[in-house]
Amino acid sequence: MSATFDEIWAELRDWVVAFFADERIGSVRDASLRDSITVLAHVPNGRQQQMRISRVRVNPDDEWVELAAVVGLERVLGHRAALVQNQAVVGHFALDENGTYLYRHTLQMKYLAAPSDQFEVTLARMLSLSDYFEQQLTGQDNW
Amino acid sequence: MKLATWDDVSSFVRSNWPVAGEVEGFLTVEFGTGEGRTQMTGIRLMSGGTEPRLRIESQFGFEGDLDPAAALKMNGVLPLGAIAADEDGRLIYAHSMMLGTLDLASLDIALKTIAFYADQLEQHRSIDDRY
Repeated sequence: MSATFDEIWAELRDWVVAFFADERIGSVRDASLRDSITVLAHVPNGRQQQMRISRVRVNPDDEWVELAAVVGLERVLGHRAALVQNQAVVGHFALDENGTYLYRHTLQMKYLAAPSDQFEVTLARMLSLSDYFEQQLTGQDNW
Repeated sequence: MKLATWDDVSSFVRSNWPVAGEVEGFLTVEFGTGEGRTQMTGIRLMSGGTEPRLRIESQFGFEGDLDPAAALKMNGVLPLGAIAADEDGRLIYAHSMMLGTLDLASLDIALKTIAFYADQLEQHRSIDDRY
């Protein structure tokens, strides 16, 4: 019998907590919510990048894992330019309800039994790309 | 674990759906989306990065069909994929996945979902069924 979404999510959460327990990699910033966890990762050039990893329930048979990082305020990038940039290989720009750009990607929960290359490699790419876009768009390292 | 290849993907797609077109590293499938509508959906090999990935993509309109700010807000809540635009103004709904460790069964869900949402987006602005 295949693992349930609860079991897959619990394993992914445990993997994230264990991985980010190594201070050379980063730290867990917030694990207070059952369906999301926020990490702060060290990225090259002494910079850091925060990423929220969340469980997304579409219906009882369909759940996803969302990776999302704030990369700048709405004014730092034109809407059309953001849509054109969304042809990137991994991730996409999205606007949240506060007028903030997120860099975001989702993965099908069903196929992410930890340890999962799909999850680990995608998380690493997303951390790197989010930090790159924040630096390019704002010149800052706020998130 | 055997790593998935483009040939595996091509065989999987061909064994499950009629392929409407193919050029090297790109397959097009026409999905029925209900009520006589169809949606052309492509599977593209992206081998230029550090690890090969698949991009599933489906055009649903052109710039002007959807407010860019609204598209970016939708991108924040869609369960998979995102709305993108190309340099020629085509609006595309797309999602990417790593190829090497891909479970081919996950491709089935992703393809159908991209086709469904792209067709919904096309209907949102028009009753046409161009793509």
